[in-house]
Amino acid sequence: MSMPASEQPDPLYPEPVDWRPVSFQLARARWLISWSVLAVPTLAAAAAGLVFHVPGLIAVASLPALAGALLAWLISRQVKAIGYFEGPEELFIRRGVMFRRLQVMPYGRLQYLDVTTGPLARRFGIAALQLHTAAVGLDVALPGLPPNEAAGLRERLVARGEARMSGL
Amino acid sequence: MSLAPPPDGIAPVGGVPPDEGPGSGARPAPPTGRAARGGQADGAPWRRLHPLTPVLRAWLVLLGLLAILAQTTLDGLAERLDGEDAAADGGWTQALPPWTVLVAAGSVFVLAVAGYAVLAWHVTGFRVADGAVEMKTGVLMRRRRQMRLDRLQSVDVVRPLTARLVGLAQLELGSAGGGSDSGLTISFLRLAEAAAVRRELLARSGTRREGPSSSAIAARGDVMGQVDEALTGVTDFGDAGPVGGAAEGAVPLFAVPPGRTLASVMLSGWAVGLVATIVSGAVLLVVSAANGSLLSTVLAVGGGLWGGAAIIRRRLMSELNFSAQATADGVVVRHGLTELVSQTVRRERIQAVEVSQPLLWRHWGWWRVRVNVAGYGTQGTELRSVVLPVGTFGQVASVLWSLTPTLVRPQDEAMWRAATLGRGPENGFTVAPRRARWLDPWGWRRLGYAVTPFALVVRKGLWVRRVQVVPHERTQGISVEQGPWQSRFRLASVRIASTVGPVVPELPHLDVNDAGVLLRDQAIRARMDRGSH
Repeated sequence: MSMPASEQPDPLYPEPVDWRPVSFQLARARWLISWSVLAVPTLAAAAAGLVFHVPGLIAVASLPALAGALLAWLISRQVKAIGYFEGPEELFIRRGVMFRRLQVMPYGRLQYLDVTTGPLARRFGIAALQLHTAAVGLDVALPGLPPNEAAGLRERLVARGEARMSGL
Repeated sequence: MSLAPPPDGIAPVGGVPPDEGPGSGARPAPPTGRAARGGQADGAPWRRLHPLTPVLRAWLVLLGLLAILAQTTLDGLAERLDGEDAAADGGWTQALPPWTVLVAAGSVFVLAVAGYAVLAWHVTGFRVADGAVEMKTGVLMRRRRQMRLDRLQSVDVVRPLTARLVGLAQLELGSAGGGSDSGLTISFLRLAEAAAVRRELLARSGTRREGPSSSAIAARGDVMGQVDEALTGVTDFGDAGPVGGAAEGAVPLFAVPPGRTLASVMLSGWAVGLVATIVSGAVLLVVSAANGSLLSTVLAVGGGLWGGAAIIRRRLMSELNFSAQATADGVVVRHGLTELVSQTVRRERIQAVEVSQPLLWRHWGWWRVRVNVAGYGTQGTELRSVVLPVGTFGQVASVLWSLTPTLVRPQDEAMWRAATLGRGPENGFTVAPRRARWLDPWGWRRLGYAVTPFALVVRKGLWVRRVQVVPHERTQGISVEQGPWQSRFRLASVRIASTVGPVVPELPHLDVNDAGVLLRDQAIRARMDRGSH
């Protein structure tokens, strides 16, 4: 690579540069999930090490803790990488850091959409938007939207979809 | 007493015809069907299915019952003969009762099944009204299903072997949505009636939504002239004529001779795999016989063979007798050995086209054409989506001319030659960079895309050559993906979203700048073509 990569515009994220990020609450919700899973082996190993006075077990307990820290970093990177942009005719959604993906969905192709909020998501004040089209390989999902933003986006998408409905 | 298979073994099949679903709530059903029919004053009258429908639906059950009856009768006769020997000491009267009871139970069961089947037939109906096809079924669980005609994607006339014997056919309607449960099956009707209903449905749905591309085609009178030229170029008509009534105003395109179909299947990947399995299986057998672990090897090899053979058999059964006709709004293909299928592939329903050539077909210059049509969900897609199972490139061109005239304009000829046989950047192809060989050592040589005013053309596959064509106005969406290795080599994959089907238009490992340009420009082209109609 003769040219420094940083000076080139990123070809994968072209014209629309005004990406709208999703709420960082999504990262916090995912942290909670991953930590509660990792807490079980950590606490078990640590407790066993303390009770039976095996220092090795305490060292083992630090492994899931380290994994938790690593996951926390990965999750926050991933969540920060999710973004969307409402173009005049299409919705752009990008995600991923190592495995990057950019999806372009014309509004007129929208068949229907779901807004879902689970109990955990509700606690964190986020909702997920799932867009359905007739196409395969275009399962557009947008997690981590604040509920009113999700509702607004849904309204706009439906309105634009109806205005530009082009069948198939 | 030797009762061969107990009747319960088959009872579920007879008790609940396939479409009805298990009747959990035992509601009394009878007269409401008529009431509902009377109550629908606004719509068109309900039309009944052919009276033989219950017989055809239940023919397996009936066959089974007949077999049981025959067996018990024989048993009974044998017993009676035995009994006659024993008649002297009064054994005759003791031998009789179980037999009589059995026959009585059997006939009650038959009557119950027949009664249910007749009842099911009685409450089943369909109608075409208010821009929708509506169907009602179910004795215990009533079900009504509506399919809007402007959502109708495909209408196939299918004739299973048993239905053919009595001159009946079923109609399979596919709708947008593509799920396995999104279609409607109307079975059975007389063949002529099925054809009439199909014409009616096609006419109604056609007028409701004038296909943008068909109007564009009408404006291009020269293209239809090209069709004629293409037709005269096709010389090798087989002897297999059209099956069951030619469509109105149809021009025969081609008929694939059975020998060629057979050869093509034998030279396809599946058959080659089967032969490889047989050979390696034989080697394994010899080895394992020497080791003394024969049984498990036999089972493993046999299982593989069985699966492979079933796939090949299904493909043969479906693709034999293949013929096609061009009609005003698309192509009618007819195919099948035991089960005849007549499909109307409509021009405006084509989402994507793939022309492919397995390695072993190269010598004969054969090609295969498959299409994505939204109506055919995931089930049976593989066989229903074939519009040319095997044919010369002339036949490919004639089918494409009839289905997607804008994709085979005279000036596209060089592009097509490059797309089918070529590699490298000539004729307007944007190709994968040389460094893509690290991730795809063979495919990168042919990978590339070209853009015509009407469609995106994807070329790929070094061994199995593939050309995928997506009309711009059918671009359902686009996505670009890049994994860590691709990122290192500055490559990216582009996928054009299409509907469910065998054609998955995807360009792995393009240069990342080309991918970005394709993404941006294709979105614009798709937008323009959608907007212009």
